[in-house]
Parts: sequence; C-alpha cells; structure tokens
Amino acid sequence: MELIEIKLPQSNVNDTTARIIEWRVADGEKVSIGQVILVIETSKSAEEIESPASGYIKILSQVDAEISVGETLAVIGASPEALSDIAIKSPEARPPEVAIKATADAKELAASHNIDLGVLKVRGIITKRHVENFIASIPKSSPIPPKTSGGRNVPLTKVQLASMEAVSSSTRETATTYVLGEADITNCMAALDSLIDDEGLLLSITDVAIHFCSRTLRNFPRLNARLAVDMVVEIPEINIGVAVEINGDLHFVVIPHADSLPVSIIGETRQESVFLLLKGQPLKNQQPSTFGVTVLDQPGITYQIPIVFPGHAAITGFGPIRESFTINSDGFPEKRKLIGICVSYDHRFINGTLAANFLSSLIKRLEEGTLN
Amino acid sequence: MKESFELLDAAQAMANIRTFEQTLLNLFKKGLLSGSTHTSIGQEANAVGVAAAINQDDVVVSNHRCHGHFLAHDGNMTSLFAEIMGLEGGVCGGWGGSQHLCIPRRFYSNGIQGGILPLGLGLALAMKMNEDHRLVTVFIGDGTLGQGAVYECLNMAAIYKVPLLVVIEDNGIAQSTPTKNTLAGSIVDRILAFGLRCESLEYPDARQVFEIASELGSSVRKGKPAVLVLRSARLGPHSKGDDTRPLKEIEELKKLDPLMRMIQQLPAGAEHRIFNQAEQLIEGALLQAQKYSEAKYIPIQKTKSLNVHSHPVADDPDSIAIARSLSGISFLEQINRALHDVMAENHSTLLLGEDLLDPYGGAFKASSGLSSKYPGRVIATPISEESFVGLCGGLALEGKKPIVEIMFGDFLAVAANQILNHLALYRGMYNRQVDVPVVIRAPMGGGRGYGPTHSQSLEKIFAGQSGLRVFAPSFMHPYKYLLEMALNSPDPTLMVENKISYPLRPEVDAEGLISDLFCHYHIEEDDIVLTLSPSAFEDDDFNIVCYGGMVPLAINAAQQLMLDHEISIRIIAPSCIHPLNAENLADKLVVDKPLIAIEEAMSAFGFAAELIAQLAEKDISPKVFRRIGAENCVIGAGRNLEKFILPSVETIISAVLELKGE
Repeated sequence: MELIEIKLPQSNVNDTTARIIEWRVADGEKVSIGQVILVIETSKSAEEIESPASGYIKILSQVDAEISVGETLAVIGASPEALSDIAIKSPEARPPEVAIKATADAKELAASHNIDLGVLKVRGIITKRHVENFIASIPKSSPIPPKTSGGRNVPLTKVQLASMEAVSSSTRETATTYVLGEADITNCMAALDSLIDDEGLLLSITDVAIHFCSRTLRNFPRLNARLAVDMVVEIPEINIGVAVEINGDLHFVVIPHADSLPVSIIGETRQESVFLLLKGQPLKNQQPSTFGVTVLDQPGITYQIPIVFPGHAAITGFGPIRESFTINSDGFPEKRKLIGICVSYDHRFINGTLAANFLSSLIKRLEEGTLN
Repeated sequence: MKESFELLDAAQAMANIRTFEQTLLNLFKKGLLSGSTHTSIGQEANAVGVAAAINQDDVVVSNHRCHGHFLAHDGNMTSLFAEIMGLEGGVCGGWGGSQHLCIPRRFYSNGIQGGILPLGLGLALAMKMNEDHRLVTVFIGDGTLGQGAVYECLNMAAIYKVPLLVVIEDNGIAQSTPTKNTLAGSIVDRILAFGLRCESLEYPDARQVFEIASELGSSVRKGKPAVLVLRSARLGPHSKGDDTRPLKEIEELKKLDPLMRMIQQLPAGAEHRIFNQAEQLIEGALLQAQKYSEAKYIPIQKTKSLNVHSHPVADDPDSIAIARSLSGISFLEQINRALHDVMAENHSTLLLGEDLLDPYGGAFKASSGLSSKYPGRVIATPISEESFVGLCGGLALEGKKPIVEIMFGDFLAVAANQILNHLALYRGMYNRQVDVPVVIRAPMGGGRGYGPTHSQSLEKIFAGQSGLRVFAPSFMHPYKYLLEMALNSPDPTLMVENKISYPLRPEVDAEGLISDLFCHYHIEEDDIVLTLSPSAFEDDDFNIVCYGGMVPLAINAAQQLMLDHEISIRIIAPSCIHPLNAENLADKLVVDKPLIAIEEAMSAFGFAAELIAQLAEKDISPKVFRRIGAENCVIGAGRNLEKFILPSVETIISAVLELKGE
C-alpha cells in the first residue's frame, strides 16, 4: 500500500484556509476507511473529515493550526514503519514575519558593507540604490590626512561610520527627552546571585535589566512602538536591542520576544551574540529591535543618558550598582544596593507622564526583584 | 375602472387609430417615412376596450404593434406622428421611432418579442411594494408565445402576486406564419398551468373587451394577476407589403372587423361622420407634427478627470486613508458591508437573485444577513435570469434601485437580451425621460475548478454596449464607493466581481503601503483608478494595466520582480472598464516604458485591445506593448488545466523578464 495523504478539502468556495478543531484519533493509531478522524472549522461551520483509507495514521498538523486548502494534514500507511520517515511539521517551520523587506541585490550589498538594513529608514522594499545612497551618506575619511602636530589620524571603522549615521539621524529627527530615577535592587541582586550560585548561570545586571524592561513594556505598548507618517505603530513583539561595545564599535544585540523568556535564556542569547562579535563574526538574521537597553557600570558614575535609537520610541540607560545606607522601617540604617535609571523617550509621541509611569513601574518591579 | 362605456366614443377612438395607421401606410408609400411600422388595423377594439377599462394613471406596456395601444391610452397623436417621422417633437424626440414609445410611468413599448413581459412584471412588482393602486397591462401577440420569458414572467407574476394584466392578442398569424404551425396545445391551457386566471374572447368588439377587462382589472388590482386572450383579425400586413395571405382569406376576416360591427350598431350616417372627424383630426395632427424639425444628434460631452494632476504620487493622504479603510477586510466582506449600507441608506434599494435568502445568503454569501434585516426587500427569484434581470428595469422605472445578483457571471448570457436590448437602451431610446439605476452583480472568472460554463470572464460581451457601464473593481478598490456611484447613475451598471478575489484581504501597513507597494487612488468623475508602485512612482521600469482579479496577480508579480530582479512595476488598475477612458489612464503611465495589459479572458476583442487602440489614437501609445490573457480554449476544470490556461503570476513575471531580455 502506498502512502495516502489526507489533504484539506475545499468545502466552502470562499475559504482558502480552515482551522483544526479536534483530532478524533491519536497519532500512530490504526484507522479504518470512513472513520471520522478530525474536525475542522471553516468560516461557516465545523466539518468532520473521514479517513479515505484503512491503515496507520501519521498526524502532521496539530489542533488550532491554520491549514491551507490542499495542504496535507495526515498520512495513512500500511504499517507504523511505513510512516517512520515522515517529518512532522512544527509551527516554527513557518517563515517568521520579516519586517524589513529588501531586494536580493540590496541584501548582498548591505552584507558586503556590514550594514544593518534596519538602520536604513526606507518605506517599502529596500533596493540596492537605497543601500548605495546610505553608503554615500557615510562620511568618507579624507584621502589626504590633514597635517597635525603630534596627534594621530584614526580612521573610523565601518561599524563606527554606520552607527555615526544612526546617531546623527536620531539627533536630527527625534525629540529625545529624559526622566531619571533610582531603584533599590538589593532583593533583585540577591535573587540573581542565587541563580548564579545555585544553577551556575552566567548572568549580569544587563540581563536583569532586559528582563524587567521587557516585562514592564507589556503594559506600555506606546513605548514599544515606532512613528509612521501620521500614526504610531505599536509593535506586538517586544524585541530588546542591547548596546554592546566591542573594540570601540557599538553593536546592537537583539533579544527577540524578551518578555516571554526566562532571564537565563536572555543571558544565554545575549552571550552567544557577544561571543560571535568578539570573534569578529557578523550577527546574521537578527530581528529588528523595538526597544533599547544600555548598561554602563564604571564606578563613580550615577546615571547615563542614552539617545533614542532611530525607529524606537524609547530606551533605558542603567548606571552602575552602588551601595548606600538607607533607613529601614525599624529606623535603623541598612546597607542597600541602588541603581540609577534613565528613560530617554521620543517626546514627539510620548508624554512625560507616560515615560514617568513606565519608569516608576519598572522601579517597582526591580525592587520586588522577582526573577522569572 | 371607468363606470360606463360609450359606443360612439369607442367607435371614434377606433376610427382614429385606423385612420392614423392608414395615413402612416400612405406616407410610407410616398417615401416620407423611414424604418418600419406595424399597424393594428382590425385589432383596434382590443386597445380601445382595455384602455376604457383601466385608469389613466395605469401603465400600459406594448410591443412592436403599439400605435393603437398608445393612442387609446390617451397618447398624443401629434407627438406620435413626429416620433415615427423622426422629428424632435416626437414622444421620444425621434430616438425611439415607431416601436419604442414612452410616456414615463404610463406607457412603454419595445420591439423585442416578449422582452416587455419582464418590464411589465417589474413595474407591477414595484406597484405592489409601494402599495400603489395602479395596475400594469402588457399587450403581447400570439407569436410572442414562442418566447421563454413569457412563461418565466407568468410564473413569477403568479408567485409574487402582482397587479399585472397580460392581454394576448391572438390574430392567428405571426408575421407570415399561421399560428397553428408554431403553437402546440392551447393558449388558455398554458396560462392555466400557472394557476393564473385566464379569460378568452373570440373576435370581441370594444364593449366586450371593456367588460371583461374591467372585471379582470379589479381583481388584478388586488394582486391576482390575470391573462386575457383576445382572438382578433389582423386585416393589414405585419408591417408593410409583407402580407402573403390570399385576398379571399383577408376578405373573410374583414367580415369580423369590430369597428364596422360597432358602427352598424350606431344610427345611420355615423360611419361618415366618424371617419370624417378622424380624417380631420389626423390631418391636423400631421400638419402640426411636420412643423417640428428633424431630430439632431448632439454629442455627449466627454467626462474629464477631476484631478488636475492625475499622475500618481506617493503618500497622497486621501489615498492612504482609503487604503487603511480597506485593510484586512476581505473583498466579500467589503461587498456584504456595502450592500448592508446601501440597503440601510435608501429604502428604494432592493436585492434580487437566486438563493439570496438567509441562512444561505447567496452562493458566495455576499447577501448574508440582508434578508433577515430587510424582509421584503430581498427577493428570491426562480432560475429565470432573463426575466429577473429584466424586471429590474421595471422596478427602476418606478423609482426603485434594484441590485441583482447573477449567481455565476457566465449566466449573464442568459440575461443578455434584457441587459443589451432593454436595460441598456431604455434611457437612450426613451430620450432620457427615464433613469435605469440597476446594478447587476456578476461573480466572474476561473481558478476554482468549476469548469467551462462557470469560470469565464464574459465582461467583454457587455463592455462596448452604449448605455451600459461595466465596473470590474479589484479587492483593493473601495467597493461601496463604486456601488453608490452605480446606484446614483441614471444608467445600468454591470458589476463584475472576480470570485477568487472574494477571500482576499488588502495588506496595508501603518505607512499606507499595500503589500509593500506605494498606492494612489485617483478619484475620477466616473471611476477610481488605483496605481501601485514599489518605488514610490519614481523609478518604474514597466507599466501593467489590469483590472479585477488580475490586480492581485500583478501585485504578487510586482513584489517578486522587485525583490528578485529590482524591476519596478507600476500597476494601473481602473475599475471602470467600459466606457474605458484611456486618456485618464495615460496620465498614469511611465512614458517610454513597456506596457503590458492583462485580462483574465482571452485577449481577442478585449480590454487590452480597446486600451491600446485608444492610446494609439491619441498618439500616446507605448513603444512596447504586450497583452496577457487566457489561452484560446475552454477553461478546463482540472487544476492543472486552469493553471495553464489562465494568466498567472508566473506568466506575468516571464513576460516582463522576456521584455527585459533576462
């Protein structure tokens, strides 16, 4: 017996897809011809699908999956062995939504110049010419270095030139405004330390910052947004871009869907990217970030005030952790760990109150210090 | 109903008709008239008897042999002369001629056998819906009983219970063929089969006709349609010089002449007086009519674009607003919402068609929810496309705005007689005295494997007819705007909807780009033209002009050509394909770049042909022009056959790459 594919039928002229509501049989089960094996939902009604043959079934699409007409839902074979080589489609197999569309030529040119296409502010499809224009806008070091007395001429790297353009663009086009605050992260650091000690994880305050920022953002969609012509696009995914400096070059490492990841995975993802950068390898297929986080931990610093990255609504800048005595509820001085936080936001579409509420909410979460 | 019947008045009215028609025949002999005329000599009692029985504001619908009916129903003799002579003072300004007369809301005639039945049915249905006291009388002949529409309408009249009286004048001969050679069974039995009341009279005089018509009329007015069969003698030719019957036969028939039989009942000398008066009347009317000048053709002013600069630009705020309003809404939802809106906004709007009622809501569900919300205004019809499309004409002439759904566009051919010979012509042939705001929705096109008779794109058969507009919006055109434009138009509109576009939803991003293409909606006086470009209309390499279901294919091809080859396609998509205004489209082309025109049907005698012809005439034709259409064969049902026969994304891409030399 050959393998028989069960495909989604066209049951209603207007439907191109249907949803699987229920499998009436288990994967690998023996089925007989005419037996109802699954129920699908079209735009009009629920419909039962019968098995076209007798044999063993291999289920390929799971409940709740949206299936196109003609797509194979399951396969029936004479024996369980006949089905062993058939791969199950996982939902992840679908191509992810690509926010930035670029032509083949544009991608090639950008890759050869180490340019992140997300930096180009193009509406629609990015073409080779857009990339060329961007490259042309990057100032070239002059061929004959000006004469200096005793100093030295240091040409900027490609990455530095690209981030120069991004920074200039931010300064030119956004109206960045700031709100500053301080959080007591004693509990938080204790929790972090126990994760590090008990589970042997390599985590830093940066991962904690990403963790809390992304979760707080869930309640502040306006800050996880970008401005488009005459509207604010609130982005459903929370992809945190964290600034990483390597050999004087500023990179942005993206943690996609950071709000749904445990801090351990955030740390792992970040470190993998940093590791690649340290080896001088480019970060491929990075998703565009939606919100920025940056941490500076040099002693003596209290605050850092970052600029909003082009295409973002806001960024949080964290200073180093410092220790200070505060008076506890019993009236005794107590040594606590404090951190200075700055929220920089694009005042064109975000008001001070909203930014302050965000910061306040972030501080509250940090002080509670519940990791995961 | 009139209370009394005056024999002398009736005889005079009949003599007037006879003298009028004899005068016409004389004028023809003298070469003073052109065209044709069909006289009712010998049948005047039918016209006069029925006219006496009905009210002045009742409607009479007549056929090619209509002078008697017109004059009897208080028509103006001078304007009828002028009409037949093609003069400005004619009933229809000389546009209609002998067979196409119109007094708005009182009298209509048309020269297509049987085609008036749907008109009469529609008028009567409107009267019923309006709770109007009037009735509709339709005169047909025995020859017309060969037409299917007659039976479709008798069936619907019985089902809808409309105030319709059908008078069959059985003169025993159709042009030159005796009825017995073409009509099986009995006329009355045919009528009775529909459960309709039917009365028949043998060679009646006007009084007998009056009496039976009066009686029938009062029950017809109560919603009991009826048929009156009047055996009559046609004493003259069918039109002129075409009577092949032996003289002896005609002499025998003359003995049955109701006019002479009625005159015999009057005092001596009546005949002389009656005909004398008739001659004076006719002579006066003719002299009066001859004072009018000949009807002149004044060309209709061409519509001009409302946009001063109608070349496309990126980021037109109105266009972005339109695009956003359509975002995520399927073509079918757009149509359904538009229908809900127009039904809510105007109580004259009606929906008709097969299987429209809930819970089914039409074969493609476009009418879903409407019959529940507007009971009585959504009318389920039998499978009688010619008649239910035709009756929309009658509804429209009584002020309704009918939207009729043809289940599959292929079935338009069944209704073609009513669309091409009736709805499209009414306004022109009745000298713009009437408006016909009928919208005919037709799901067209293949791609669903329905096979050769359910997959065609037949719009080209209708595009090209004067008085008919053809819209074929894509799923990205604002349907409601076009529907309202159609309903507010005095002319009928054929709304071609590509059926595989029904589930498509425009993907509009926050920046107003549709499927990554910049868009511009050009609001023209008579159309909305959508232009799309991946490169903000600044750097396009090709022009693609297409409509309806070809627009999504063109978009898909444009995306791929840009992503893979950096070839920028400018798509120009009108929704009005007839009358096609290529001048409007020309403004939107990238000059000096190749132009590809796409249509789903085979290209012969089609949209692309019309487009390039118009452009060439304006000396704005592109140097390189290609047509893409279906293969010259039936649209096979098999998926693979359809894929090969119909235009596809691949066809478009390879045509572009071939022109590009890649």
